[in-house]
Amino acid sequence: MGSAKIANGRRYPLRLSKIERQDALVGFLFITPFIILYLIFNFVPILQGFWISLHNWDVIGTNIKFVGLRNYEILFGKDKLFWSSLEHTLFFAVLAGPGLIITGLALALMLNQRARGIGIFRTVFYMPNILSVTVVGLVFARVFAPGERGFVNAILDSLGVSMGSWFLDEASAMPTIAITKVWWSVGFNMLIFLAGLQDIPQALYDAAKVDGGGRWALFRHVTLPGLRRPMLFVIVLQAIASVQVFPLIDVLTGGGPAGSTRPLVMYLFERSFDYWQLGYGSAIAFVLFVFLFSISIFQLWFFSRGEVD
Amino acid sequence: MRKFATVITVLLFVMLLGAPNLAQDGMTLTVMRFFGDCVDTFGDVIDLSGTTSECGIITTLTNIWNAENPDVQVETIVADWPGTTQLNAAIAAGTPPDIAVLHGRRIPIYASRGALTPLSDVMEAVGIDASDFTEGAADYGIYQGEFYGVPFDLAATIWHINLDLWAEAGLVDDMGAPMLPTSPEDFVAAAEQVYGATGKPIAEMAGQAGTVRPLTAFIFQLGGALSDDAGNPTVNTPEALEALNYILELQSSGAITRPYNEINNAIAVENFANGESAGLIDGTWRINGFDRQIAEGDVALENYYVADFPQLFEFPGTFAGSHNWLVPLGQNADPARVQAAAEFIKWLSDNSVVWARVGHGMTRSSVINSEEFQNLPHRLEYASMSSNVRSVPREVWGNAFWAIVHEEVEAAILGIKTPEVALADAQARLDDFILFQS
Repeated sequence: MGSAKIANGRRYPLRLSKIERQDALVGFLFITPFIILYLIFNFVPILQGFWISLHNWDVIGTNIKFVGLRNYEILFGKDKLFWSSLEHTLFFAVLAGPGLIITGLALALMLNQRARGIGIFRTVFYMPNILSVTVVGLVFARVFAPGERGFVNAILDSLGVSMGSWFLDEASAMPTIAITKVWWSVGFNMLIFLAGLQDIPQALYDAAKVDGGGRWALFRHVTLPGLRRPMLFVIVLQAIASVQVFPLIDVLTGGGPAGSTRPLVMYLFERSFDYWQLGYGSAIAFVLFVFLFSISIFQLWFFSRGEVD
Repeated sequence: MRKFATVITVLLFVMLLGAPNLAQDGMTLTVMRFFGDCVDTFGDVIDLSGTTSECGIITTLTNIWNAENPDVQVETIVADWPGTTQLNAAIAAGTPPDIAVLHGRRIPIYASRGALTPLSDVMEAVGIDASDFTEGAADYGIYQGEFYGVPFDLAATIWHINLDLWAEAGLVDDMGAPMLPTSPEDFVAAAEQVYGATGKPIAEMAGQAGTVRPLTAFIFQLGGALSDDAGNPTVNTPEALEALNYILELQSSGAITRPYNEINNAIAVENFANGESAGLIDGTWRINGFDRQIAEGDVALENYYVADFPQLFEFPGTFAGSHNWLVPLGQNADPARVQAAAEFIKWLSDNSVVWARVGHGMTRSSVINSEEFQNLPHRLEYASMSSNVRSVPREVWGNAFWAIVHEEVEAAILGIKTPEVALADAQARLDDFILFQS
């Protein structure tokens, strides 16, 4: 077998046998269609997006002029709206992210029972996730509507607390959007955590109990470590989804009031499609891509430290 | 015999193949429009009587055209409002529709890029009389002296009035018409009179009806302009500052409108229909809806009057948008298709009085002077609207202007920025937009 590479304490041969080479070839043949489609529909558009970002480029494909890195210079140098949109996006991620993860985990823990009718509860908690963004937007526009029309304000009024419009106030608009997002999307995280919980062997809990572990100790030393991979999956997906937030905000506030909830993707859309500056919009998109890619790599590294096969 | 049968079979086969081609000798035009999709209700309807909604009217008009013109059939592609995303995608993909509808202020950027077909000559060829358009209305379809759009209507900002509440405040004359204010001071005084008598605001303003629309109207009324001599946008001007300060005064008075951060457009409309406000500043497109609700008796509003947007300063001037029919086939389009498209557009324009049932203003003098138009509800009440409207300058920044100024005025109303900073920021953003055009 010749020399061997050692990784994770195992020895991996560098030279493959004939049968192994044939197996590898078959494997490659199986994934070739995917690779081709991936290159055409993912990789090429990323390169094309970068190429467009080096131009002045109308959204309808006219008025094309090579400008080099000028779009990036403007973006980082003097575009206040880019930075404020990034700030709004991160604010949303900070507000919604923990809520989505903690609530999703809490619901999964509650629903990880063997009880009669538990399936109904699981379905009910997951159901908002299948609603379209328009439906969610219309429902929550009513829930948080000003005056007596709004469900929340009607309750607050009865308690003697007066609130205006949640979505038209600069201070309350983004937190209200985050609450809406948590209600809408938490079911997905719950489902992932639930699947993770059901993968943890009961024997680990039994052993911990024998060792005198209480409920908190079981959660901390068995459940949380057992959920490491689902947690990583949820956090990475949540970070990406939060940074890409757009349709929900578009429906609820349109980025207002006065642009105070405009996220980065909405800004990208405005520049590209409303102002026809597809080149500049592509520069924003490429920065967003690098940003998300970096966060994802960091998260993968952070959560896989010390992990062994 | 066998040979003969084979020849006959082949001939029949060839004839069958040719048959569809014979049927396809005519032409199919694609029309990309918004106004909604109501095929379920109006899919087969060819009777316009009683139809007052935008979607119902345009669908029925198209059905009638198709019934009367078997050689030039029209196929509709319904786009989401404001129609630009799908149109842009279609143009970029090289598959533009033959006809599209867009707001007039969006025309210059398309025309400047050669995406629209010039229409002046073909309009003349099919008999669309350009001189029949009112002066204000014609502007919406023109870019650099050439028609690129045929203005179909004027969708203006107007003042919806609850006459019963105005009467309660003693502001209705012997003829039953509201006593409309004619100066900034009059407006505030009338508002206080109505509020004192009824506890309700006189002119609820929400969303764009409280920001960019009144701002541009007041700038026009103060004699200001939205562009300089070079055609660049100017919003950081003394007139704009005076207009914005007056809007802030209106917003803070309490008697004019409920606070901006407590109402949105839908709620303002609901308030007016439910008799919770004495007036509403909003578009012509609301008129038939209020009339229908009154007729059905399901709202508190009973005596409904429509007035022009208040003229409070020296010059007449109000905001209006305009839906325009255009041909996005580019500069070198097939003349036969352009001709067919123009004929369909002419037909729509000739029947535009039906479209007026929605409440929109009309663009053609002959339609405005027709008996059918004059007999429509409320028409005499806001008759001067068609001559008071002003277009956003016919420049590529028209649409960007709208969005940017709305946002910055909103920031001033909500106290996020001072009026001076808001206007300076709006100007800076517009200047930045212009930089990308060079």
